[in-house]
Amino acid sequence: MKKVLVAAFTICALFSVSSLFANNSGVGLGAVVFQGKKGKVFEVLAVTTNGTSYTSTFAITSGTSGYKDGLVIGVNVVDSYVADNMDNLATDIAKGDGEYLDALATLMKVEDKSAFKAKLQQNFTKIYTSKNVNSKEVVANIRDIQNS
Amino acid sequence: MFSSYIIFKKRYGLRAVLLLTLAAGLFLFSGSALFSQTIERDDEYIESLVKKAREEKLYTDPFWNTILHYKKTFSGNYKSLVDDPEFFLAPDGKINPSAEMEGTIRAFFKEKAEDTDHATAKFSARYKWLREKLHIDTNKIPYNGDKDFLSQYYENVNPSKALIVFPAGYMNSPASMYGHTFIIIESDSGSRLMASSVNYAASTDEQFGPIFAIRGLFGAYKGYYSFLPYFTKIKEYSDGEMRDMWEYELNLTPDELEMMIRHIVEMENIYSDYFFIDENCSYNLLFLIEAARPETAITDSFGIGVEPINTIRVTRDKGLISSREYRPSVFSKMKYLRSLLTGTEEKMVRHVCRGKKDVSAIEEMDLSDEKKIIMYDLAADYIKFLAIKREITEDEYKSRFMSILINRNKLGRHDTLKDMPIPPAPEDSHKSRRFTPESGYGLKGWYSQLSYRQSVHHLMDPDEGYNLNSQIIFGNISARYYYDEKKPILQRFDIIDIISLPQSDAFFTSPCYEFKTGFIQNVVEDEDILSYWIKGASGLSTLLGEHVQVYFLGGMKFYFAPEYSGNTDFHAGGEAGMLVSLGPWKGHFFGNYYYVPAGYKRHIITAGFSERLKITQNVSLMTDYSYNRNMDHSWHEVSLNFNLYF
Repeated sequence: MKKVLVAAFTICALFSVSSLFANNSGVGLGAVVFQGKKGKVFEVLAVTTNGTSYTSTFAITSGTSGYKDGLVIGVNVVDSYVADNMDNLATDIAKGDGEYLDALATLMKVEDKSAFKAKLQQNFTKIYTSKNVNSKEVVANIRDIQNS
Repeated sequence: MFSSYIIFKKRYGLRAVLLLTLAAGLFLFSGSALFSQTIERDDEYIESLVKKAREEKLYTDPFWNTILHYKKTFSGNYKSLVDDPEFFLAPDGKINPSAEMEGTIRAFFKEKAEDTDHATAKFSARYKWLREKLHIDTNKIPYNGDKDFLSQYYENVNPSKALIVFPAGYMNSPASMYGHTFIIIESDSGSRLMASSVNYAASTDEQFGPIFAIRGLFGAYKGYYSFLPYFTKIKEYSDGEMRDMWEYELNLTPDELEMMIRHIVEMENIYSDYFFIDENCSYNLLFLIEAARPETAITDSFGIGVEPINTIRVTRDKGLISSREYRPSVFSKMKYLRSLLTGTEEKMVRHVCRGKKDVSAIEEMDLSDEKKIIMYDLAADYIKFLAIKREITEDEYKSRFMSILINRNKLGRHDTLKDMPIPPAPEDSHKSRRFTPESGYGLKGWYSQLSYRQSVHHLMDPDEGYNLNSQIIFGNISARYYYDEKKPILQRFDIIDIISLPQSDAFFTSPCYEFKTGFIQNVVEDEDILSYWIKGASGLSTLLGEHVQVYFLGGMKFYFAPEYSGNTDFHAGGEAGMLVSLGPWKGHFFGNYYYVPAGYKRHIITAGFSERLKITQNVSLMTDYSYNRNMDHSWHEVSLNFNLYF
C-alpha cells in the first residue's frame, strides 16, 4: 500500500544498506556491508566468523564463536564468552572493573563479585601469561585463581 | 526443534528449507489422520469452538490483527504483511483473518507429527490468547506447546526486561544517521551484555550495494528476525563502526513481556518481504512491542516511510519507555579521554601505539598515576583502532596491547570514564520533515519561495542528536516565484544531498565527501537553465578549537539539459569553508570556485555566509548572503528563511 509512493526515495535505500542489512546469512555483518569500502576510517571491523571453535587469541578481527541462531535468553557458556570477548575482557581485568568483567562474574555465578574482580586484577599477569595466550588457557587460569 | 531448520538453512540455503518445511507442512495436514490415535478427536467440540469464534467475531480483535500482522488495504479488506506460507494455517490465511483463525483452532487439535513443531508450540502467542478467549479445554488438545515454550525460555532464566536499542549514526557516514533499531531481552540473572538481541533484517548474499538497494526497495528480499547475544551487537556497532548506542527500557509487565517473547517465537524462521522504506528493520520490531501491548496500536502510527529514530519517538510518545541509557562508542570514549590530556600526553599515546616509543615511556613520564591511567586506557582503545585499520600488524598489536595492559594493571582501579558527559539524545533531535518559507533577492530579482523536505538533516539545522556538521537530505523540493517574471519555477528538487565532514586530526584521518543529485537551476552568465545534476566532491576537514571547523574540498559537477553542447555542462573546482557553532547560533562561511572548460566556458565564483539561529528544537531561522560571479555577470543574493520541523 505505501509501497507505491517510494519512487522519490530510490537512492535512500542505497545509503541505508548498512543500517538495514544484517547477518542472517551467518556471515558477519561488517564483512558483507563494507566490502569494497576499505580505507574509510570509521567503517571498520569486518567481523568474521570463526566457525565453532571456542578458542581464540587477542585479535580484534576474531568474531563470534558460532552462536546458534535462535532466541536464547541469558547466554551461559563461559568458554565462548571469553573467546568472543578476549580483548575487552583483558582490558577490564587489567583495570579490575568494567562491564565485561561483571558479566564474567555473573556467568561464573560468583557470589562475592568485588573480591573476585580484585583477585583477578591482582593476578592479571597469571591469567594473561603471554601475548599469544588463548581463551581456553585464560579460562583455566581464571578458574585456578578463583579456586586458589 | 527450531534448530533443525537452522542447520538446513546453513547447509542448503533458505530455498531448501522452505521446500522442506512446506513439504513437512503438507505432510502434516494430509497425514494428520494417521497420527490421531492417542487422544480421541472430539470433532463436535472443535466445531463448537470454531462456531464460537465466528459468532463472537474474535478474528476482528486488534490483537489477532497484531500477531498475524494484518493491515487494512485500500479496498477495506485485511492482508497480512507476512509472506511466508509457513506462517498461515489456512490456505487463504494471508488475506482472510477469519479463515486463519479457524485453521489455527483446528491445527491445535491435530496430533504432533514427528520432526515438526506442533501448532501450539509454533504459534505460542496465538495458542495462549485463543485458549483464554475461547476457554479451550486443554485436556482435549493432543500436545501441550506451552511446555516447550516455558522450558525453553523460562525454566533456567527469568526474562525480566525488554529494551529497544538505537545505534546512532557513525562518523563519516551521514547516511547512517538513519540509524537502526533492535530489541534486547535481558534475564534477571544475567547482565546487559548477555541479553539476547532480536534483530529484523533482509536476508541476502548480495554484496553489491546499489543492486541490494534497488531490490530492497521493491521487496525482493526476505526479511527474517535473527538472534545474537547482545555483546556481539555491541562489538559490531560500538567497537567496530564506532556508533554510540542508546538503550531504552520498555516498561512492560511480566505478562506483556511473556506475550512479546511468545510472538518472537512465532516469528522465528518466518519471512516477510523486506521493503527499505516502510516494512524495514525498525517497523517490523514494532509488531513485537504491539504484541506485548496491543492498545498502543504502534504499527499504525506511521505515514510514508519509517525512520528508525521515529520508531523511538513513537514508542516514547506511547508511554512505553521507562528509562534511557547511553552506551558511548569506542570513538566517543577516546574523544573524552583525549579531552583530559595535554597535547604532549596525547602525542605520547600515539607514539606508543604506533611503536615509535616503548610503552615504558609513559611509565617514565613525570605525571600522576591518574593521568597515566587515562593514557593507558586511551592507548588500549587506540591500538585496537589501529589494528582494525591494519595500520599495525597483528603481532605488533598483540605485544603492544599486552604491554599497555600490564602497565595499566600495576596502577590499580580507577574509572576514567565516570564523569563522561552524555550527549543530547537522538530522539530529542529536530524532526525530519521540514517546511521552509523563504524570501530573498536572487539572480532574477526579488522572490519568495516554499520548500518541503521529507528527511532528514541539513548542515545548518540544529545539530543536537546528529553528527556535528553533516548533512543528509532525501527528497527536498523548492518552488520559487520571482516577482518581476511573475511565474513560478522549480528552483531545485534534491533527490539526495549528502555532506560528510568528519574531523581529521593526528589520531584519526578520514576523508570528507559530498554527493548530490537531483534537478537544479544552473546559471549560465545571467540565465537559469533547469538541469539534472550530479555533484561529487572530496577533501579534508579539521577542528580549530572546540567550536570552529574548517574544510577544503575538490569537486566536479555535471549538469544535463538540451541547452548545453553535448547536453552537458561540466564544472571542476574547489571549495573551502569554515563552520562555527556557538550555542543556538551557527555560521557557515564559504568560498567556491569552479571552472567550465568547454561549451559555455566560464569561471564561477560564489562566496558568502549562512547563519542559523535555533529558536526551539523544531523551529529555526536562517539568513544567507552570497556574492556570485558567472562569466561576466555578477550579482548578490540574500535570503531569509524560516524552518519548521515536523
